[in-house]
Amino acid sequence: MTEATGEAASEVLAPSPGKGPGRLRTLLSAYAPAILVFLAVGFAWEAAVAFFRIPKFLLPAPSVVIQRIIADAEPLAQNVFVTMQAAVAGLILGTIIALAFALIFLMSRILERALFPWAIIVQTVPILAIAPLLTIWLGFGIAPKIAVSAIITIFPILVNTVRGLRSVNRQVFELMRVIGASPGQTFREVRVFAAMPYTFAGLRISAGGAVIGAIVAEFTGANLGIGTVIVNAGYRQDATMLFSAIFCSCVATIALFYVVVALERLCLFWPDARLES
Amino acid sequence: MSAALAQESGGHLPAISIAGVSMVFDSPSGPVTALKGIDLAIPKNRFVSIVGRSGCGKSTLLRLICGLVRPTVGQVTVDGMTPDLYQRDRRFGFVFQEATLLPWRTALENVALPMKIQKVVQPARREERARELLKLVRLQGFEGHYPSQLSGGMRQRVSIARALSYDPEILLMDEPFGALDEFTRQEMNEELVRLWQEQNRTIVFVTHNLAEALYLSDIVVVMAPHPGRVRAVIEVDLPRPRRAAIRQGGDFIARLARLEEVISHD
Repeated sequence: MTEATGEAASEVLAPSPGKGPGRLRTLLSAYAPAILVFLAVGFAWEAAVAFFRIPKFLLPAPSVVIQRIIADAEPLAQNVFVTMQAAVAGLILGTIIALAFALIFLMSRILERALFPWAIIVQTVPILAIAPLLTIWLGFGIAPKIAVSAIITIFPILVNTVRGLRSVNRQVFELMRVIGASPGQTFREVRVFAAMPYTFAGLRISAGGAVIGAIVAEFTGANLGIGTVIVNAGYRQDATMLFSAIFCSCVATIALFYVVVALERLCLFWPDARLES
Repeated sequence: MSAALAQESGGHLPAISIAGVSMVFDSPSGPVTALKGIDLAIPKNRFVSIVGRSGCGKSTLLRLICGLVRPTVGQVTVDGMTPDLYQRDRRFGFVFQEATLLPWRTALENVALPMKIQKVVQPARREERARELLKLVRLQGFEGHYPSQLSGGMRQRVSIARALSYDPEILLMDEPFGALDEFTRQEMNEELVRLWQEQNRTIVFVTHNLAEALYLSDIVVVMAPHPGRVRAVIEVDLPRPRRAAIRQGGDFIARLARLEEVISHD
């Protein structure tokens, strides 16, 4: 909009987060407790390992893990990258499939009743059992990983999006009819926006699941990826490497989660759009 | 038929005529008669209120007029057409109980929505016209605000501006100020009368606030519940322009008492 309205908006708008030192303080009070606990656990762990002389093959101290991550930074990064490629591709594919089925469910209650049990089957089937099957069918490359990630992704997004598409108040439909909107226009102007907050709530759940899916697929046979690093370290009983791999995949998953959150901030541009904090 | 009805209501040509309309809904506990034997003529360019207890079918009647629901029996004629035809050719203005704004659209975009949907005004003109309308409802400076950043009264003003954006000759209002506090409600009453007097329109206004109905209207239609029916059609011949102060006058209070009597009489 014009500058004038922008100014007016920022004036009246907003339980304002404030500027300068005020903002820093809110950031600090938001993150300080978590950071403090994190550091405390790290120190306690380090101290316990030293005090009880716990051997490295049982429980390596955080400092040892960090040293290992630095030493093996390059192969770790490479493997994480391979896994994340599959996870992101699976997340995108799963989202597309979920949105397509959400539309089908919206258009036909009968199809929803017919197909929804399959969504539940896909969701409840043990992923560890499906992964080797998909590896048999799709080979040792990226394909089975994408498939497993997609399967995990679908359900939360599908269920949430269907709810969102149906979350529109009856009066809004009456309004659209009175002003002469076609069903297509009502969909574009109303349903898409009503569904978006729900879709993103699902997407946030699915983001973590997608990475887990890719790692699980790598367990059952893959040439590269953090899952293979974990399996190999397990065979060698290399606890330090296991912790390093766990740490790296956690960081990558959190990064993906925040990419989704950033995308959500971009798409849900209006106030009060997001379902939870 | 319509001529006779028009005669009844003071010789004006009816904008809306409702003849022998009954409305039966199916419910889990059997059919429910929402409206029974409604005959009503609403003259052109008059301000008509429909009052009555909740459950007397006021809102249903409004939805019948604009074709959102269809009568089980009887006929609704708007300007000589069926509601569907009228809706296709000219469109009703409708103001809902809640403002019913799209949360993802700014005040300006909400006002411009019908023009965008109907593609009647050129895109460049839409924004200009929406600005004028927001000014008309005294919301200049709030164009870029989202609905959640506006107060209840402001939101309802936006929705009135939206209803006026395509210049409907008939404006249907379904308890539009019911959710507002008394102070804001009276303010909105003033605004509405001002808007109505600036440009002639037929307004059908549903409310359960009798003082509001009396203050605003030329004609008050009193409805009774179970089944919903018209109990009385009362002409309000208070001179215009009316000032807010007449609400405290003896004449107004006496009329209010009589109106209350008509409603509570069972």
